[in-house]
Amino acid sequence: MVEQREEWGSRAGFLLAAIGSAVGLGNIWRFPYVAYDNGGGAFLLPYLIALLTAGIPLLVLEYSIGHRFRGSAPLAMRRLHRRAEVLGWWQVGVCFVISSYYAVVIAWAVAYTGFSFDLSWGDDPETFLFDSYWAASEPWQLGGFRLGVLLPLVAIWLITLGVLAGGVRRGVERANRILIPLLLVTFGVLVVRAVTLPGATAGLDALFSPDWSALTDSSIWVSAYGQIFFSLSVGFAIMITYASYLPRRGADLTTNAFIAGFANSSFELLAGIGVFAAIGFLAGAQAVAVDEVAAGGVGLAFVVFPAIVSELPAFNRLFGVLFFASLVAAGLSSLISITEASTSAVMDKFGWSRRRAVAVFGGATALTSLVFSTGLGPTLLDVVDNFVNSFGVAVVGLVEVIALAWVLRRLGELRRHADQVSDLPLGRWWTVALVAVTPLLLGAVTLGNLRRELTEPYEGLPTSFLAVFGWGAALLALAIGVAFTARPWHDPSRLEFTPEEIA
Amino acid sequence: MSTAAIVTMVIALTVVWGGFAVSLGYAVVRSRGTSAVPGRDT
Repeated sequence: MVEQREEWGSRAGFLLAAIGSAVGLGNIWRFPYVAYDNGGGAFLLPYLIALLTAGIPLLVLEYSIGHRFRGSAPLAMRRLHRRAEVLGWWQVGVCFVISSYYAVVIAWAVAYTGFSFDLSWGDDPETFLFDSYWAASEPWQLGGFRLGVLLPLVAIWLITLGVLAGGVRRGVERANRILIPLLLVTFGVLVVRAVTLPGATAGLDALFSPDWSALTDSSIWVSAYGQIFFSLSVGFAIMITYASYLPRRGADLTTNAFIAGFANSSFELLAGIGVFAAIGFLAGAQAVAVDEVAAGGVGLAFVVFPAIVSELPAFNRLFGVLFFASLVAAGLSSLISITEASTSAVMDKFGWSRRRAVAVFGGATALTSLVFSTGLGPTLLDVVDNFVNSFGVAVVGLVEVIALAWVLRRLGELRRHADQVSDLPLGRWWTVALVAVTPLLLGAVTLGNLRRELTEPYEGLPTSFLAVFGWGAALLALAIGVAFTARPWHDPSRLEFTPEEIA
Repeated sequence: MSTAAIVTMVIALTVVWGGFAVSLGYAVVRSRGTSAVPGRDT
């Protein structure tokens, strides 16, 4: 009997959801500064090579696993090999940890969308953020809930869980049909405004002026592969889950991977132009060099951008609303995908209905995220984010590639499957990319991260705090993987699965 | 803005947006053979 599985309503629906998952906060606040800090225009060469030799091959790999074995990450991995299930659950564990704090950043963006209407941050956005909005407390001091964070956080979770309860077609697909066009319009208007500001060219000059000598520095190449890897939502169950909802025939996995990969990079480059044009304006307005105001991450979004908004000669409130609404749209589509990957896994393993899985597992994630809305939240979030990305996402991705390419040797089977259902045939480049290039570079990314953490405490925080919440969060993801793998399957007959060969 | 920066920006935009347009165009053209509505063959 052919097993019934939810499906996307159309190819466009799948692509919008896959692109929505890949395009997230990191595209807007991580890529521009990473590029600027790693050789400017010269960085784009290793970045594009990384896209073609790691990003797109990894997307095809995960699409093929999900589509061939027709399940969430744990089910697909279990069907692929008896001992691979733990990899799928480890990825779900990473999803659980990431979604618990990712929602909080979106909640900050929701609050700042409101703050933009009266420029609440005044003349000193940094003091406003740390002392007024976050009222951040010292490490080891919880500091109580911050209502300004808690209320939008609850709203974000209600929306996310509501979307997931609606199912793949009526929930996830429909939400992305709204969020992605909304993101394109809001961010498109913002970029046009940014590049027409006085001083914008100074920012673009700083971003795109190539320092070709940087290409001889291996760390630039490692940064490029790291950026591509973290940006494409590979290595944490999402793409496997999303591809499992594609119909058996006409899935065209390879072309879809090219479309999603290039769409993600296209948006990322657009974000770089918008962000650095605005930074160039701020540098001019404050009569300082671009490198004095250039920043990435939380500092860029919630300190530098509010300062830019305040300095604008006209329509500054609109500019603020557009920027923070873009963050909300980009973040929400990614949060939906991360939580869907966990929900789908629980449904497959325990035979739960979608509503029950959303309520129990999604609800547990939402409750966990409340700790990040306390005074300790921002520090905790920074530490957990750093460690779970470095030693959760990157390590599980590395283990996945090594397991499939070197240990289980299943690339040939997955390549044949991709070719059977795709218009565009894969060449030998795909195998070479996954057997050699990706493990080598991802290994270098992980080693670099490990060396950094072992030589200096992250952000100068107490070692005990980093051990408990940093290494603890990374280990929690692995512990979730082991614990859920040990639980019995509700319906073991689902594991007796023979992949359909499509002529 | 320096010439090198302009050239780099134009090449980068052409490659990534071009790659997106070509792969999307390829999908639409190929899907015409299997569906009355381009892009809705799944």
